[in-house]
Amino acid sequence: MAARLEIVSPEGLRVDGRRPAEVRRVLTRTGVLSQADGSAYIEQGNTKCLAAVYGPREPVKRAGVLHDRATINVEYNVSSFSSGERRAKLRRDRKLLEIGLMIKQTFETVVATTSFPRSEIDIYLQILQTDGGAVHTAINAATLALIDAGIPMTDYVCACSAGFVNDQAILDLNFLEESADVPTLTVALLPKSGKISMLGLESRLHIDKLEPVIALASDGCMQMKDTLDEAIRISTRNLAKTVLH
Amino acid sequence: MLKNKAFVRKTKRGTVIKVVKEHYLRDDIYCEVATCTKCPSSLNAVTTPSTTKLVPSPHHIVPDTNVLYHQIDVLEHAAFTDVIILQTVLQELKHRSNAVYARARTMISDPKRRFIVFCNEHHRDTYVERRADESPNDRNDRAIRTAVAWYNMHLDGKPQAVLITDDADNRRKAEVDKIPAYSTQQYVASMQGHPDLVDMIAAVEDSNIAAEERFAYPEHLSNSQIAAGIRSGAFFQGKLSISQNNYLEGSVFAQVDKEERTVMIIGRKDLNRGIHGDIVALQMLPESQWKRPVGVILEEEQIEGQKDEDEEEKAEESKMDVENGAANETVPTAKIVGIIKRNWRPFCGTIEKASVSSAASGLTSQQSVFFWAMDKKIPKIRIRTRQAENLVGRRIIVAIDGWVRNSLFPSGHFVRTLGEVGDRATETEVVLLEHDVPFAPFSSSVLSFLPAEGEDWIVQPEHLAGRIDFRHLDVCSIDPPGCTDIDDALHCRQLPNGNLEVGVHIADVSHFVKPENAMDMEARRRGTTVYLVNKRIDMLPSLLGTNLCSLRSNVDRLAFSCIWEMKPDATVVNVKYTKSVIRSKASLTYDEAQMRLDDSKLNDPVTQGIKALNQLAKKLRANRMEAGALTLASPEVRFKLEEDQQDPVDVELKELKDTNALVEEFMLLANIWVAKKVYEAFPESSMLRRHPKPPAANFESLQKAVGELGITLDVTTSRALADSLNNATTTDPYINKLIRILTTRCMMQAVYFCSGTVPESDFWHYGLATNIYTHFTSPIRRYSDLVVHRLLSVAIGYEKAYTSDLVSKEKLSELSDVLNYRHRMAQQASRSSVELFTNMFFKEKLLQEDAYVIRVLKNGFSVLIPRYGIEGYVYASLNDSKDSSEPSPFVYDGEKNRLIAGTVEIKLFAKCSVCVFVEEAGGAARRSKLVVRLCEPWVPGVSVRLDDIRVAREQDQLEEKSGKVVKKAKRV
Amino acid sequence: MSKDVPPSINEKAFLLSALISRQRLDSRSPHDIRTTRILLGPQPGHAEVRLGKTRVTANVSCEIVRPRANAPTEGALLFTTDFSPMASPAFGDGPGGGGGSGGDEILIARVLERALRGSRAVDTEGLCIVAGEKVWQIKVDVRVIDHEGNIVDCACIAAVAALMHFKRPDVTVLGEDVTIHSTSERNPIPLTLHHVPICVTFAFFNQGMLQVVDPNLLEEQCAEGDMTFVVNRHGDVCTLSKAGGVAVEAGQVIHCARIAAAKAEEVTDMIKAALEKAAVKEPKVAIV
Repeated sequence: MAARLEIVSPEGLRVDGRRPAEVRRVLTRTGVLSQADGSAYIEQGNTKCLAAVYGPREPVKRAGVLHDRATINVEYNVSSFSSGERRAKLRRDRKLLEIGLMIKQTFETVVATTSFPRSEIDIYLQILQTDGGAVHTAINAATLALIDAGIPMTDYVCACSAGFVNDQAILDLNFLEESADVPTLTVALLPKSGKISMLGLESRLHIDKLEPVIALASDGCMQMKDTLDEAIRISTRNLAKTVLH
Repeated sequence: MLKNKAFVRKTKRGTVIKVVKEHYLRDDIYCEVATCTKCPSSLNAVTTPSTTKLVPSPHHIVPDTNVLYHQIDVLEHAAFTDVIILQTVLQELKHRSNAVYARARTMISDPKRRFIVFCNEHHRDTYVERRADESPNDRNDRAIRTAVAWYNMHLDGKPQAVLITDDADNRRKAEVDKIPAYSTQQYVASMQGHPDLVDMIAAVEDSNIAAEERFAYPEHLSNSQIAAGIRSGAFFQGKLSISQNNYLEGSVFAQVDKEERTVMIIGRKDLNRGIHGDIVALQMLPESQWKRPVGVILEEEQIEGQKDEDEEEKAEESKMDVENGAANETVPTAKIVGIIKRNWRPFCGTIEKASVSSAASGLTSQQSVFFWAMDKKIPKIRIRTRQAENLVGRRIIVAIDGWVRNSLFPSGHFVRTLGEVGDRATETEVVLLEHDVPFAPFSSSVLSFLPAEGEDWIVQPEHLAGRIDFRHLDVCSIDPPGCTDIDDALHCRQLPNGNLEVGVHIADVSHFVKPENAMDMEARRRGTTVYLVNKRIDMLPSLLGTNLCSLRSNVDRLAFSCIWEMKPDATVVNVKYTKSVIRSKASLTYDEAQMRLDDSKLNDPVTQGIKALNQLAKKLRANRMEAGALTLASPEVRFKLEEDQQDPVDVELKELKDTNALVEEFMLLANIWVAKKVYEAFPESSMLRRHPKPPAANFESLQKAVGELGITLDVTTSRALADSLNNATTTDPYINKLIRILTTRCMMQAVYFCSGTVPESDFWHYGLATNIYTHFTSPIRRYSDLVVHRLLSVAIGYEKAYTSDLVSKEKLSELSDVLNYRHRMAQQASRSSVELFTNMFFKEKLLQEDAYVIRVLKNGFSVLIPRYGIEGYVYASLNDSKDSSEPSPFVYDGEKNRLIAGTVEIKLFAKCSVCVFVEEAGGAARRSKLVVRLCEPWVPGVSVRLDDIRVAREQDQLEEKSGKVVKKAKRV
Repeated sequence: MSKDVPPSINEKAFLLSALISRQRLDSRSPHDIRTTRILLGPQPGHAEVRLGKTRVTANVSCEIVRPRANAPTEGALLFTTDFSPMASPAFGDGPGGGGGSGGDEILIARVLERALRGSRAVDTEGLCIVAGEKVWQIKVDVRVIDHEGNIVDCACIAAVAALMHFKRPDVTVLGEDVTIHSTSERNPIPLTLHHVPICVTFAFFNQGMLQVVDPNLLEEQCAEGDMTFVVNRHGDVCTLSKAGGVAVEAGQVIHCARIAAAKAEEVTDMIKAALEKAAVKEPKVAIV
């Protein structure tokens, strides 16, 4: 007779006190690393991600060079201290490689790679602490870092996760909710057009429930966009201040 | 606003991790009081504040966790409305007990009660952080007090919020904070208009009941200690068998003080985690503690419904009121001190619906649920599974992993699903599995030993070597309709000297099944063909059983024959055993053969043979009756299935015709003569069959009961018994049949044995009154017959070479035990199958029928309904003995073994009228139950009228259809 | 998307203009899948699937291992994929991180894992023999023989068909003794699959306005983006994966999901038909 965790209480509150359509608190900082061309640090709830961008620069691997555009490489890493138990990190953990590839393909359409033929843009993502939603936090961090590096992009890439439990869609799941086998959908959106650039679903979800979940996730992405936009404007203003004076 | 909650926790695997959780505080949590002007109105507000003598101003009560947990019954009373439940209280309650939490939730969701939930944990003003050195309990209490204080401040005291807590310390602290607080006793006593509530308050100590005082079984001794104990005589061992009717009563048939006795083990603690079938080590209890067997039928399901294990325990004890004294003697009682060998096997059953908590859609993480095995002797098993929701309402197989000391139930794991409950194929599979009947299709290695020609096999000239050619004889076979595996055929003709030649020809299976090959081993494993109502599990592949071995008409077949020369008065002059080839002229059914018998105009050789056989059979039967053979009766019925063999359409009692008796007589004759021959050839290692004489004690209660009807049963010899039975007539002709049925139940089981292991005097077959017997005539469906065939063929010199196993005393003895087991299981499987179909037949019906009482116990009586040949149990109290709060109108007289209620006496053989219907397998019930209720004689409080039941059932069905039924959790 | 020699600009333009007028180069309609042929091998657990010209084989085997500590009553399911170099010039020796064939291999292996293990298609609880000590470990080996586009779908069908065809040896547990019976002694038992997940891939063209089901190699190379659905016939989406590429609207995603559900039913029926055919060919065992 296990005590079932109620993801959403009958009063409409989740375990941490949020309502179903509320995103966690987000803190952002850009320009945190001195060596990288662009860097950003995002905290979404207790999930912390650090992103560093190097590029466009001369490619390390001659083989991957494209003659008309830049190649984007993404390395996605989760620290061994990021979760409650220490994880032994496998160098070639397929899951991490997959996430890296997905992020790379997401940004390939948004970054203006044709402006930098024969060069390489490297994005390094490090998850320092996981409390659910690591992938979408990483994408947001990458967006900020790319903008910080001054690489031209056609649009922000904002990401958020949503799930479905007890006939209700909930936004931005934390670790407890994810581990309760709630189907989680991660969505990356281009806010200007509202179109979806990346989708990832891990557990089973019925097709009829897909629509409200995508809608809610898109809504969450728009909320994230406001936060990201705000962060960029503040940092640019600060930059302008140092230049002007 | 964001806070962080950090704490350290131990995971399932045993590692310790630190858990950090976010905790947001909100501004949009409202007080939900209708009269509040500051907060927006909500739908579920508390509207009507209460007033009592104690607190005259309008107020709402706020119970704390312990109050909600212990006094949930009081709070469920309609007098309580408009109550504020705090989130802290609910969360604590959930951790404490899921059952009470569920009840609280039901109360909250009822709009008429107006219980609201205030999320004080996430409210900015009422959130309380744990101070260092403060225990979680104290912190929760402080949170509750803070919330109440906030309410009073927010509402300005109109209406007030009043804390109800039984913790005196909490009340003191509340007073310091100027929060009105009272104990349940004080508050309820002061409520106007509901004086009865005070009685409902459960007496509870103020201190917290430690959850740690859990039930723990005594430890098992180690193997070496057990071995030492057995050697020294302190312990003894035996195979545990749990009573079918009472799952808390077990018994062991073991050697105690050089004597074989039945020893009882009663009660959970004494049973100490022994499961039916285990080999256990026991220690005898001192005589002063010996108990009387409890004369009740106790089903674990009746205790079902208690979520807390402690409550279950208490419920059990109250049912098992074990009194020492009164009529029966005490029986040696022991307790289990250790387990020597576990004999668990995978069990079929269903999941207890009540233990499955509703989960999120799609996949769920593992949860613990309880599993009921079909076999009532097995306790509930706790399993962890992800698929709990999907498994409700289906039959599944679970295997037990272990049973630790501090768990009331064993734990196990899921193996596989069989199908939906009630689905015919699934239920049939369950019957087969539960009776350990091997029913998987024959494997390729078994089939490789079939003759290569397959269906095209015919008798070749080389087969005739050593056989007599009987193909010219007018052989015929008489079998039930639809029979495809014909093992026996008969013929009879006049001899020139005026005597008759009678031949019994049995299918020659030993020609096709050679010893020790895969097919033989598989047949030995199966032991016998199992007959279910809708299915037949063959011992041999059907190519042999229904074709090559089967003595079909108009085709040459190999046989093993037994030929007698008899005088017209059925005295045997000489006998001959030989292998042969026959060609049956006709495969008749009993009806067809009977018609030929009755038709005087028919004169063909086959009919003449049958007529002659009939005459002989009558004489043989008369001889047997002289010797003391018994004709007993069983209430067997046969189901008439619809065309497509699916639903039972009607039930009819099996009838015995002349032709049945005819075949039976000659089969018996063959079996007896073959037994003699085989014993002669192999005195140490023949496979024979005996029926031990039942001890006189078995008949005691029956004799007492029939004594009252003026009948005496003389059980000294079978002849005497047969005569008494024939003279046992009363005004009601059915009573005689009933007495025969009950006599059958007093009999011992007939068993196979190896002749070298038992003295010749014990070869006696009581029921047939013959001093030697075996099974020879059905080798297609019984393995023992095949063994006898092999022995006989060596005895007559046909088979020159034979394996030593065939004549090894040890091997035969082992084999007999296995065959006895399989035989018993097959019988039980057949009975279960009949029960299954009976329930299916009664599914939508509600009938009132005559019935006779055949057994009287303390809490009810068993009746037999002659029309359908089924038995049912009528409980002495109308509430199905679930709630013993209403006493039964019946009083049990142990001396005379009857139930008395006023002028009505229920005793053995009493005739009454009952109504019968089927109660569907509910969420927890293992299978649909046949419910029998007394109609006449009329006993108020117990008897029901047919119409009342019909109306009640229709109402139930309507309610279910419209979904209005709200399950209310019941308390003990 | 493997790129060995990218298609010429003319080819791309031709393909696109044909698609705009709702024509595909192999005369399929946009939502048609290619001819699927499923061959279930003589041994149980071996399947070869041809989707048009793409060929993938899958083989299932089992062995007894100790279960993981945090799931003592569950069996294990392992996937390995092998992109044999004979399938396409793009497949080199050895996987690599980053773009190219190595990336594809990983993506496809992950999709298979998510589709079959993550969605709990295979009943792992029934693979337990003795809790905490012995469980069955099912290993699925997928090998790509020929690459003519849409390996993901083909591999998924092959893996599912192989799992449905596979039979494991029978085991008897009595008390604490475990006996494993060989296949000739007792008939082996098939695995229990709760549901049949089918993979359906869409390729997007023309700024994401057009989508086609089951792209062949050329379409894959010219596509702007792709999206993979794994659905079962009850309409549950087991996995959904859109790894970058052109952005599409939410409405389109739902539309594709419904098409995928319909296709899943078709393919499930095909697999079931193939299984029945294979069962008929097997040597007659059942008599009772």
